[in-house]
Amino acid sequence: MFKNLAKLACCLGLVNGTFLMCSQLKNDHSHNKMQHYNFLSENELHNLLNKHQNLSILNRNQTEHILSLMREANTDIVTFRKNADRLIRILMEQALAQLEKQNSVKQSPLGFYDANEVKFSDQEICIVSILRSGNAFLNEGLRVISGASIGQILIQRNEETSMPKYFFEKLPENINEQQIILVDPMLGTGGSASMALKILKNYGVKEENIIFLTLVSCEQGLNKVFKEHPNIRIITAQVDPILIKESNYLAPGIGDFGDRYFGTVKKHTRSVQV
Amino acid sequence: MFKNLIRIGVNLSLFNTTYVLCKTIKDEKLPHYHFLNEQDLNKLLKKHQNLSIIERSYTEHILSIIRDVETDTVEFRKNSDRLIRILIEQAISQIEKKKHVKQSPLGYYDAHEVKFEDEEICFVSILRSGNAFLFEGLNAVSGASIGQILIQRNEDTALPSYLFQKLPSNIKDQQVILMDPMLATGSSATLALRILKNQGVKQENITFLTLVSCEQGIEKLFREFPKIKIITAQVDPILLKDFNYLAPGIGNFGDRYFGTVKKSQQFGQQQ
Repeated sequence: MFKNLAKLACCLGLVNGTFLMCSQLKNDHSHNKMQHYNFLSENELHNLLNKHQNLSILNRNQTEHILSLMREANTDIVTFRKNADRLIRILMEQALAQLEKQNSVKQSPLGFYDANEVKFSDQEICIVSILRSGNAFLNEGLRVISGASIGQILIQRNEETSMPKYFFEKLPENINEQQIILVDPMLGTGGSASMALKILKNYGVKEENIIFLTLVSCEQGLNKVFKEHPNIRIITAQVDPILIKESNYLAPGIGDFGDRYFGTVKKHTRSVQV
Repeated sequence: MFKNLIRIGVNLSLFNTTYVLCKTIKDEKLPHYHFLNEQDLNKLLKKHQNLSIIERSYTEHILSIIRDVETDTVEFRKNSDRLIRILIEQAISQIEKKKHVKQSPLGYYDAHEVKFEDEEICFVSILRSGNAFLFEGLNAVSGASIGQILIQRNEDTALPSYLFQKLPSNIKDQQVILMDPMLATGSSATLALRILKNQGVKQENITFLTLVSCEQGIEKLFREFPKIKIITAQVDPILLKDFNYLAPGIGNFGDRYFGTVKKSQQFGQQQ
């Protein structure tokens, strides 16, 4: 009987050993397959801000929790939308904070005070979204500025060449007199954003009246947009370190924001790195 | 002095009469459209079994405000959103339900719940106006997937042209709620429905939501797609031949909701 027990124990020991080795190998293997991307350091971010005076990056405290949830591949669509909306609201408030204000004296129940209010009425502000992903900003955008007019420009990026292709636009006819908030969740190569900005300029919009909002960007995109349109303002939640050459996706990035927000992610690509 | 007073009096009354006359003449230029009566509506509902018209008591206040040419953008959006929410709730109420027994704090009861998960419902909007439905849509069904089809109506020929689409890859397995605020000739909606059919979506799984429609549009859709469901807030009496706009209608819903109304059209008749 002891012999049988000893045999059992040996077999179990062997099975266990093999299992451990295999999982060890698998871990190492998967560790090698997927990259671990580190975010930019404070120094690098300061350099970027010094280089581009019209660039604002949101305070890390406000954004790291939300972005951590959004970046995760397994985050379900409801959580993704909720957090995207929160971050978009923060960006919108920041954009409004940077609009020109006018000073006046007003009266509180106790006495007078100096009032500083945005110089423009709701109708003088136009939110221009770069379809399809930019439309995600309109939900929170209309909650903050309920009377704003909305323009739309449909630009799709050719998946192979990464060149932006223009499809369609619908803008208010008096757009050259308005304060524009241009929105697109990701700023990769900067090709789509640049094309949209050219279209706005064709309508007579001045660069100083444009604020471009984006959730995640990268240095290449920022450089390109500022080179061609130096007087616009850009507000971004975070600057990612890498723009992958072959696919022109940001890394670690969010993946395809439009697919994740609108729920059109193709099933087989769900947890593959892009 | 009295003579002068009399002269002033006469002049004032002349002014007044001319003003009143002019006002009546101006108002008479625009026609007064009357809505369909209960009989006409009942006939329509009998003819098309898959058509639902939201009860008038829910919609007349909201539609009165939306139709008003003087309503500003904020009021227009607020009221459109209310009406859109009503339509979406109606659409969801018509989705198949399953029954089981659940427990309340006091005892068991028969539960009837929509058979499908959030993710199995897909809102497909016909850009650009249909996008107005997405805000309330996501409030109601937060996990729904969203498809978009861009169809623009050529202003001269009134024929629809297809420009772009982005639909979930598994759309043929989903319950589809197709949305477009206005149903006039029905040609844009028909184009969108053909695109959905090409993707393998079954007619029984499609509900088409629209705020204001007309008989011609409804007939065209049901003729080609008899098994879809259509839910509308109100059926307008007239489709203007030259412009293919509904009358009294809402005007151009997309321009009014998104604030891109051209100033020249603001107080004139529809284009």
